[in-house]
Amino acid sequence: MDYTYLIHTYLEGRLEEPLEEVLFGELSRNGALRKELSAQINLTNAAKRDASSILPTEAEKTALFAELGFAEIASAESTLVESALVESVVAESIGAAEALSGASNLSVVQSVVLMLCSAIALTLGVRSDSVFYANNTENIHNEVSERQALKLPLLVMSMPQERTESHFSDNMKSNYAFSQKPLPSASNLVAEDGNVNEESQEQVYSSSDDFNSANTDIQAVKTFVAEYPLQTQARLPLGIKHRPQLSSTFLQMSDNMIEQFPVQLGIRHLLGGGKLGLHGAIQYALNKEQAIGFEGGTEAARLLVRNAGNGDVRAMSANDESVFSGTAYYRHTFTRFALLPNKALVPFVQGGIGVVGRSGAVQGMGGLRFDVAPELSFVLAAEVKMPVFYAEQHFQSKTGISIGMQYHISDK
Amino acid sequence: MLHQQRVETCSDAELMRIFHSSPSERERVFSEIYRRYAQRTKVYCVRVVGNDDDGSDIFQETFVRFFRAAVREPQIENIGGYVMRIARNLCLNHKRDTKSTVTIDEWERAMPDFPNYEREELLNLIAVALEYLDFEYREAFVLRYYQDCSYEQIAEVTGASISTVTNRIWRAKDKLKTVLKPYLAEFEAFTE
Repeated sequence: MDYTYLIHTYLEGRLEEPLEEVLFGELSRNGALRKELSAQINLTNAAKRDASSILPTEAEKTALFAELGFAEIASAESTLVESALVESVVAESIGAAEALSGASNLSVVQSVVLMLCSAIALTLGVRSDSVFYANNTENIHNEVSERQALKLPLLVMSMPQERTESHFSDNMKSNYAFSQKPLPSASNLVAEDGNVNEESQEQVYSSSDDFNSANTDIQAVKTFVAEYPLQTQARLPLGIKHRPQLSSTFLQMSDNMIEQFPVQLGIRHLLGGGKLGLHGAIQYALNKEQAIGFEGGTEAARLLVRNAGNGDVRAMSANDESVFSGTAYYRHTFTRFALLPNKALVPFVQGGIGVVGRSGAVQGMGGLRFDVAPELSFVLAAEVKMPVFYAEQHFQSKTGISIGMQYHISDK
Repeated sequence: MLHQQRVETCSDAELMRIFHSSPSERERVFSEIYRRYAQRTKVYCVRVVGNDDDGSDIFQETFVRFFRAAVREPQIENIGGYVMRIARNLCLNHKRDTKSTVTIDEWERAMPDFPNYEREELLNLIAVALEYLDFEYREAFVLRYYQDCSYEQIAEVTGASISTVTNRIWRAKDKLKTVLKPYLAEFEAFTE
């Protein structure tokens, strides 16, 4: 007698009474059968738990209702956009604009409109980067070699997607974007009235008789590959930014002081431009042109290697003289966390190396940046800025227009 | 008037009557229909198709098609069944277009030998294992254990006989059990 099947039938509530007694008798004697009972219960309970974890998302609902042309939902969508703008501003104001990131598929016209909207927010210290063209390519990551090693079916996917997007960002450190997921293109193989397409049904059944068929599960491979996509993206950010700051510094050193005491200490607090923080710095002047140092504070920490073309070295002041510096920095935030695969909660970490040069009102910068958590990304970026500074004793205002070029490689 | 009452208390048939008698109420009615059937429809689509993205697309398309059909057809009384039929047709078409089957051998080679899984990974495990079942077995398993449908309801949705449904459910469960055998002890956590 197949007791395994009896257990199944019993759990389904379809076992007749005489067989129930037979089954119980066997269960009382047979430990392996009790394990089988436990396994079947565990399996169905896991399925129920899995079912409860699948929920329709708000984005799906919004897209669906918009597709059906419901005005209320459509207006709600624009409200979402507005709130996104507000959120971006708020996030900037608390120094946490990088708390949100995403991608969008907006038209060029929408991009321009959003950029204009963002310009309105300039007085709040928000910077707008509008990307008018981006080319994304999803590539295969290291599971390619894994699957090859396992001699498993491999589907190489390369799906270039051209798109335009517009987003707000905090000084290129992260983006907030509006996400619009298009509804799927409907299969025209099902009758509009929802009736069964018998022909297609038969085709499916006739092709799926053999459970152990050796055909390639394209879908499974797609899923497998899609778990670790690497995305590359070229961007042309165009930005305008206004950033007022209140700050105080001390130990601004004259050239004579540098000669006498090459180690420079400083502290400053920042308020404005979306930043609130306290920084300390130490720099060692190698000579009048070059200095190395470390700056750290509530917002960021960085190593500085600085070379001033005109011989003027200043630890933390910024003016319109020619300055070239190499920089390596580490930055973390405690307002954004990521859950790593091993369940560790880590703060958002960003680092990079680069060069910054400024001559007169024009500032150029280029370098490599890496972000870790919640996404891993590498950014090769070059940017030219034209900031206009206004500085009083404790007040500094910087307004600038920038244009740049970035190349991103990330796992999102 | 009927459509003055709260839609939450209406039966499916009453909802459809309001839907047709008062076009201005359509959004409200549709919203209620979505509230009632979205979750189970999404569960069905995602798990039967075996892919979150495709399942989500089919889920949304199901409701788009339902709405369009509802505009034309006033006689829909069993909304849940109607939505399920549309979802099933779309899943069948998706299945036909992708033609997927992977052997148990491949599953075993792909999985590590050591069962040391976190809770979410265990759930993912059962979801992935489902993909290795043929469509009719997977569908029977999802309808029975994910949606808690009776054998009679499954027979109605799939158009199969009760005995066929019984056989499919058993075979699906048996195969999943075989595939997941090394990990079933880990599923113990779900029963506690």
